Amino acid sequence: MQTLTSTARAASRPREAECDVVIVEDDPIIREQLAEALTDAGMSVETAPDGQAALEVLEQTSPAVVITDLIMPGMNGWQLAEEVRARPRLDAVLVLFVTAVGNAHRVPPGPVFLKPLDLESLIRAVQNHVGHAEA
Amino acid sequence: MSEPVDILIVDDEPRNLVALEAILDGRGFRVLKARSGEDALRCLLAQQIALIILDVQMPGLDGFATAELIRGTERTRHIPIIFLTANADLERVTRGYAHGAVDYLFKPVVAEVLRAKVSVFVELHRKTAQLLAFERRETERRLADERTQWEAEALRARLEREQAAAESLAAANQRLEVALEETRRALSVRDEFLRIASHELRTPLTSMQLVLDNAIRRAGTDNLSAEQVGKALRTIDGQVFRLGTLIEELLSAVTLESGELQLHPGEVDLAMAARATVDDMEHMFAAARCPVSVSGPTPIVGRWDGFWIRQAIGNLLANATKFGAGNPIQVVVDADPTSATLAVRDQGIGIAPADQARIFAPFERAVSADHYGGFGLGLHIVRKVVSAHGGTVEVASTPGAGATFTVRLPRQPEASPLPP
Repeated sequence: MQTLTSTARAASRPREAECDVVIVEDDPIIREQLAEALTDAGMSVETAPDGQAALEVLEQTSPAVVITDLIMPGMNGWQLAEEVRARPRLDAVLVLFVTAVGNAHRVPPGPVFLKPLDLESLIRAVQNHVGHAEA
Repeated sequence: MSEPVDILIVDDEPRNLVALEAILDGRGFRVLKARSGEDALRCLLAQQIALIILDVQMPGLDGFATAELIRGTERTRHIPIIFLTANADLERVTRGYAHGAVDYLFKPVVAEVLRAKVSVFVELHRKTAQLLAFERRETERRLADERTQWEAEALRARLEREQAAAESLAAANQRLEVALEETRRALSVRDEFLRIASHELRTPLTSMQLVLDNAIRRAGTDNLSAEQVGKALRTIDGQVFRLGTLIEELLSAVTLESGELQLHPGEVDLAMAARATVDDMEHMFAAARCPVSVSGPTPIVGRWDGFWIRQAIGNLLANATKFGAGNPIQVVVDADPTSATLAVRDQGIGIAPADQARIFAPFERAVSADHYGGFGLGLHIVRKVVSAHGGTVEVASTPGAGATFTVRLPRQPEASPLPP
């Protein structure tokens, strides 16, 4: 399994604990900064650098939301979304896409947030779903 | 041919006319009668006559005078004349021939002799008419043949012209189709490039924006340590460098494509250039968890353009980082008296043999743009720069086991124009 950037935070919780959000992003800075922003907004966060690593994280937790980049080495965002949909256990998971590609030739199967990111609306979208999932 | 033939009998004696008519009647001839030379001439104007039987001794125009007038007229000069005469003296006969007679009969007329002579002339007339008709038909047929042939040739020529026109139209159409396809491809390459370029430029921008957003929010809650500020600024510094490098790469590509690369050769130490480039890219190696080593003798001095050489080394290192993230990268420089080499070895995903030639072309990539970003220009720029220095760049790779790019540069390169 690839390293989890938020291991410090994740390590304080038991592995099987529910987390709110999994962030999948190959750019280390964006991954780390997104995790920081969502953590500051009161959510528990796990991260993964690509789709394969994300699936390993999802083996052990059922988040309300997965935020994934589209273009990544190995398993990319489109492929990860298909894998999530193929797992009945992850039926309730909302997959959000973040991408720097303004005109992707394949439309992602879910809400898309363009980079540079409007953090406020991204956080609001995540919070809405996390609140809904907990209610 | 049983068409009735007209015979003209000319005699001033009505008895003679009746007698002659009786001899010739019922033999397939139509007998016309004239009682004087003038009568005969009038009749000849109105009828097609096959044979004239002409009495020599007549009041008014006698037989010879009438014959002379008949011979003098184009329409009638060919009509055979049999003279009838009572006197068989030689002088008259000679005179008669001089006036165009073809035969003589002496009175009293012997019926069989007259019929026999008439039959010969009538037969001659019929044969002549047949021959003329045959000739006319032949001529008409030949003319018709010629016209058909001429029309066929005209048609063939027209068809050939039309076919040539159609062929040249088809060729022009083909050229247009090719041009259109090339334009479509060029447009789609450009669209793909813009798509990727926007991705590449937005990524460092996003990093900076997130760092700033987080720092500003924490500063607002007095939750920002001096250590965190320092870290944020260093991250932003790294992203500014990355953005600058990307813009540099774009400008380099534009410069190289417009053929405006002017080399400014000077004394350059290749070993030092490699180390300086590695130092500049420290952020990138750290982020990709790639330890980088530089080995080889130093200095390696040659006459090169230092700016473009560092650009080429930077592009090779950026590729090694991108496709060999998490693994070490080795840079090895070496030299002999005439040339210098620089090799960049990664332990990344490698390049399939089929892709190894393609990756040096502009906008080409061996991997899907859905997995790896990048302009697709890095190796293209490397090859352009190295070629401009009279050198070469080669790749050796096994898929899954990394790749080694080797640049070989002459140390005193001949002045070499940039390839188009």
